Amino acid sequence: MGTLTSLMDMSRAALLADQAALDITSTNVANQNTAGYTRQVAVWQSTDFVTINGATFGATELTAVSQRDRILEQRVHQQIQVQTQSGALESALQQVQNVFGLTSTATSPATTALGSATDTFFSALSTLGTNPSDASTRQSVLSAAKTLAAAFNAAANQLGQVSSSHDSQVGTLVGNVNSLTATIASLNQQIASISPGESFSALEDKRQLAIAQLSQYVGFNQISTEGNGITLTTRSGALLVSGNQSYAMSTAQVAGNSHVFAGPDGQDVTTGITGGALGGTLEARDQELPTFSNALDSLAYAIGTQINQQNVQGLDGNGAPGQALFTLPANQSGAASLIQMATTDPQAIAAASAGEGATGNGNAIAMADLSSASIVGGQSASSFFAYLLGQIGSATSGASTDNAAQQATLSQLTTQRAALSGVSLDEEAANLTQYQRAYQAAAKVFSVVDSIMASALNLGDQSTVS
Amino acid sequence: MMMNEAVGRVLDETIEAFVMMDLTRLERLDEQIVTLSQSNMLWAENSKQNILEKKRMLETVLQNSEANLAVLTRLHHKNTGFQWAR
Repeated sequence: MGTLTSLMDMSRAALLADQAALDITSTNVANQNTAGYTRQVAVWQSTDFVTINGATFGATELTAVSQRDRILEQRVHQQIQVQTQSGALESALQQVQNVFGLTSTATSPATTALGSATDTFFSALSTLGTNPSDASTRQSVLSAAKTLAAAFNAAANQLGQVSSSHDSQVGTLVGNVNSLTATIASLNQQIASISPGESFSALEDKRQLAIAQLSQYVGFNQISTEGNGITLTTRSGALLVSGNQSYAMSTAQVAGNSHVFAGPDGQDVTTGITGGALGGTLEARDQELPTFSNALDSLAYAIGTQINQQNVQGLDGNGAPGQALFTLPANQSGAASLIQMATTDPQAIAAASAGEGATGNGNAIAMADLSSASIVGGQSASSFFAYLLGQIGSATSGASTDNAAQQATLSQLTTQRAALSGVSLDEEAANLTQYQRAYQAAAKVFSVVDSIMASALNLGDQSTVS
Repeated sequence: MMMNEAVGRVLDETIEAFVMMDLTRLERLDEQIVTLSQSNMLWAENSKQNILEKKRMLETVLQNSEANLAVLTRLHHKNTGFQWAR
């Protein structure tokens, strides 16, 4: 049975609840531009009932509930990790394109320094075949060979600089990761110390902001724990944050590259890191760049060894057996950066074949013919180089498309996160339905384009599509 | 206008409209692409790569959206169930 006192208490509680609702609204307005702030809504709950003269009255209390869903937040964080990784990779590949002087319009090997140097070298050998005794022609071959070696050196060194630059970024990114994991561990501790029933919304906002920032640097798994804690591990399972403890990553040089170590045991997680700028940087440094460097080494080594082998079979300008024209490492590793001229003497070019005498041209022609011989990867030097440039262009273009798609998805997901935090379930349902219908419409466009493309590809050039 | 230009424009606009959740625009694009598919416009061979990249981009966005939709639908059902239980 209620009393007048309890009725007055309820009125007071209702007034306090109204005031609290106003406070929540004003907090939302005040924080609308605060990074990481999550909108709160007032939730009214019945707490007590009193009966006066047969009528029942309910009291109310109000709690502020942040419009946040952890699963949705995690999905956004995962997308940030994917997008920043693809962005870092795209940036690295664009640098590789720049090394070779490729642009979206200049894609021909002949427009690149190395392609031009290769063409000029074989062209000079061909000219020598028609005039083997001419001193200036011999000098032209030597100059072209020197230019070719320098072009290999420059391309290899620039690729090396791109790789070094990515290597040095690893340390910086690890530093950023450590700073954020320490912040998240501290927030875990602060949230754990909040009394039951007390709101930790502001701290959760800070923690979610720090996790979103961390997503830009590295991919990770999130595990919710007791006491509203969050445990973070790398994708390969090394602990980054557990409760109030953060485990700093570290770097150390292994075989000339910065490796990343993580977790309580300091395990090497370099190959297991994906996501974020660190994932993209490591992918570029350890997977993409070595592929292109190795191909460049193969080309330099093949041209150098084939020319050397042919030159020693002939006679030089003085009638003596030819010697190697290029100095090369014992195997193709590092050949592009190490290839050098072995001589500065134009007479060292063995234009004549054995038995022709010093004025012969058979060996010069044989060396010129190497331009069309399959000397590297089953292809001629120019074909192999064109293929390499094609690979670089294709990888860059693919990374660019992928990054744009991931950015679009992130943008869409961020919009959806805001829309799905609607105040009412009806509002949520409407947003979700609109998303589903938009997906179906876009999927239909894709399907029709797919069908059009299939027809066009089958019918060939300037086809009529019906 | 060649077919490749028209398809490229539709793909660009579809990606943009899908990201913005502009359903009206998407439905208009839907009609446009069906009309285009029934037309006799010519296709220039040299720009297929460009269209393929745009198509791949839409495909990636759609694949990501499919996963996101599943998450959002699950969350919505969870919320609805919670309300029902109360």
